[in-house]
Amino acid sequence: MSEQIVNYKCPSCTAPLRFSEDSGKMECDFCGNLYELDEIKEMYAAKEAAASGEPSVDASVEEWGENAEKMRAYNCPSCGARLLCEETTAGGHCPYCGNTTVVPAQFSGALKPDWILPFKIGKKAAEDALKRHYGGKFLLPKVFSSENHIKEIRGVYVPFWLFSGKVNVDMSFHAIKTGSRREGDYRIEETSHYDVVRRGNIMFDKVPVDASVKMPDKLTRSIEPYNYSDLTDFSNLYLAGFMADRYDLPREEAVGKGTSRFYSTAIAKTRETVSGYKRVNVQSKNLSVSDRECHYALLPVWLLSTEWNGKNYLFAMNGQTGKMVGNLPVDEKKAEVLFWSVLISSSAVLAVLLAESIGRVILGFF
Amino acid sequence: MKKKLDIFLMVIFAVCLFVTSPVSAASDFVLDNAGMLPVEKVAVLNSRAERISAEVHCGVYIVIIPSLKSVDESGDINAAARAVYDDYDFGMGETRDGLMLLLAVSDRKYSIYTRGWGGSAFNNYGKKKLSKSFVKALGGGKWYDGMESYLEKSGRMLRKARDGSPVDGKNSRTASGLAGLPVCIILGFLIASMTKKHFTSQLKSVAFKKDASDFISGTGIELTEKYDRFTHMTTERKYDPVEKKSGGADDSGGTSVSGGF
Repeated sequence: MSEQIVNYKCPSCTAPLRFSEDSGKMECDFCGNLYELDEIKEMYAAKEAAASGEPSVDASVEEWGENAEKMRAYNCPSCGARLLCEETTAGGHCPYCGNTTVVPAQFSGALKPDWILPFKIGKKAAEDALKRHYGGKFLLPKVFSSENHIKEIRGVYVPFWLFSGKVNVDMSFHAIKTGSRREGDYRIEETSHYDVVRRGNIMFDKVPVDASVKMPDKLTRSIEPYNYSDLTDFSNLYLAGFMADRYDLPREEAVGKGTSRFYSTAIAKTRETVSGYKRVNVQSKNLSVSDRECHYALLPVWLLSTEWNGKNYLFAMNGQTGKMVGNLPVDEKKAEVLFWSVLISSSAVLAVLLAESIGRVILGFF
Repeated sequence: MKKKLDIFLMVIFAVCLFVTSPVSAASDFVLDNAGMLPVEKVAVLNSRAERISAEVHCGVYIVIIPSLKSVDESGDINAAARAVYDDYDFGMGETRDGLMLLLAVSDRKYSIYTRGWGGSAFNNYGKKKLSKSFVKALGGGKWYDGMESYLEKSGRMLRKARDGSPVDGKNSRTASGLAGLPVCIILGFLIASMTKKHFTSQLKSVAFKKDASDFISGTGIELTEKYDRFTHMTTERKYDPVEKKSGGADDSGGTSVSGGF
C-alpha cells in the first residue's frame, strides 16, 4: 500500500522536501536547496497519478472492530513503517523517518479542492505569536506564561466550503419617533408612527464554513478573515510538511450554515439603513439566495496546544494573517483579590462622595 | 305658617353660611368654598382638625377655594394663602400659630402656609413631606381621602414637633445617608464586577462568529426600493405640574410651600 503515499524528496540529497511559507518554494531542510513547485510537480506527476486511487482499508485494521471503517493504514515509502491514520487524513509526517507524507487519493477526482491558500506564516512565528498572546493579560497566572511549554504545534490545512451568492432582501419595519411639549401643567407626548420598507440585495463572496467535523467551528471562525487574493489552484505539493484533512462535512450539510451566515448579516445590514428613529421593530422579512456558488478550499491554520494544571489549552492562528486566538486560564486568586479591592475602594470613595453631598445639601438647606 | 317659614329661612341661611361664608367663626377649621365635599364630610374633617389644633395648640386648617383669581388678582397661590389666612383670622395665640392647606380647585394648585410656631414645626422639608400625603389622592379626584391624609399626617408631625423632634429633614437626611451606604456597596459591587469581567474577557478570544460582514463584496447592501412612510400620530396627555419649591417668609412671618395636584 506504499503506492498510496507520496514522499517529496530533494533531488540533490534525497532528504525530505517541504513547502516553505517564506519563499513559496519547495525547500530541503538538509541541504537548503530550493525548487520551484512546477519542477517538483513534474517529477512526481507519475507517482501522484499512481497514488490517486481510492484509499483502501487495510485488512489488518479490521480487528479494530467498528472503528476499522474510519481508519486507514499506509506504509511509509521511505522507511516502510506502517502508518495508521484517520480516514480523512491527507498529509502529515512519518513518525519514524520524519519524511513528509501526502496521500494524493484524499484530494483527487471529486475530492480535489478548488483552491488552496498556502501558509504565509511559519512555525517559529506561530510560537512567537503565542508568547505575545500571553502578554498584557493581568489575570493570566504568571506560572502559566513563565513555565508553560508548547506541547504540540501543527500546521494544518483545514478543509472549508466557501459560499458565494446574492441575498435578496425584502424587509418592513414599524418605526417610531417621539417628542414632547408642555401645555400648562400638562406634558403632551407625541409619537409619530412610520412604515419603513427596504428592498435590495447584498453580495457575499466566499463565506467560509468549516468542513472538518473535528475542528471546532468557534476556533476557525475566530481567526477569520482570510485574504482570498492569495488563493491558488490546489496542488499536493503545498501539503508537504503540514497536516491536512479532507472534508467530512458534506456540502449539503454545510449549506445551512452558510445560508444562516448570509441571512443574519443581510438582516443586520438592512436594519442599519433604518436610522433616525427612537425605536424600530421588524414587521416582516423575506430573504432568498440567488447565484449561489460553492467552492472547496484548504485554508492554513496553526494549532498549538499546551497543558497546564492537567488541562489542555488549544490555540489557533490564521496561517496567512497571523491572527491568534485561544482562551487562557484565569488566576482565580488574583481575580478575587482584584474584585474585593475594587469593591472596597470604590464603595469607600462613593460613600465619601455621598457624605460630602449630604453635607452640602444640609448646609444649603439652612 | 309664618313661623314655619321663618324657621325654614333660618335653616337655609345657616347652611349657606356654613358652606360659603368667607368670614368664619374661630371654630371653622375646614372651609369648602368650592362645594367639593358634602356638608357632613366637611363637618367630620372640621371636628378632627379642631381636635388636633386643641391638642397641639396650633391651628390646623383646610380652605378650598374655587379659583385663585377669586382671592388674589395675580393668581399667586402663596399670596392667596397669606390673604386667606389673614381674612379668616386663623391662628392660635399671640403669634397666631397655625398650619393651613389652601386648595384652588380650577387651578389645581395647593399651598401649605404656616405662621408662628407652625413655621417652627414645619420647615420647607416638613411641608414637602406633608404634601406627599395628599397630592396623589387629590390628583385622582379623591378630595376627602386627600384631606383626611393631610390631617392625619399633620397631626402626627405636629405632635412630634411638640415633643421636640420636628420632621425637619435633619434626622431623615442622616437616615437617608445611612440608607445610601448599601447603594454605595451595590454600586461598588457593580464596578468590581465590571472590572473583573473586563480583565477576564481579555483571556477569552474564542467566540462563535455568526456575522459575515468581512465577506460582503462590492459596496455592501444595494437598495432597490426604500421608503419611510408616516402613517399616524398618537398623543398622550399627562398631568405634570411644575412644582414651585418654596415661598419665602412674608412680612407677617408666614412661610409657604406650593405645588400642583
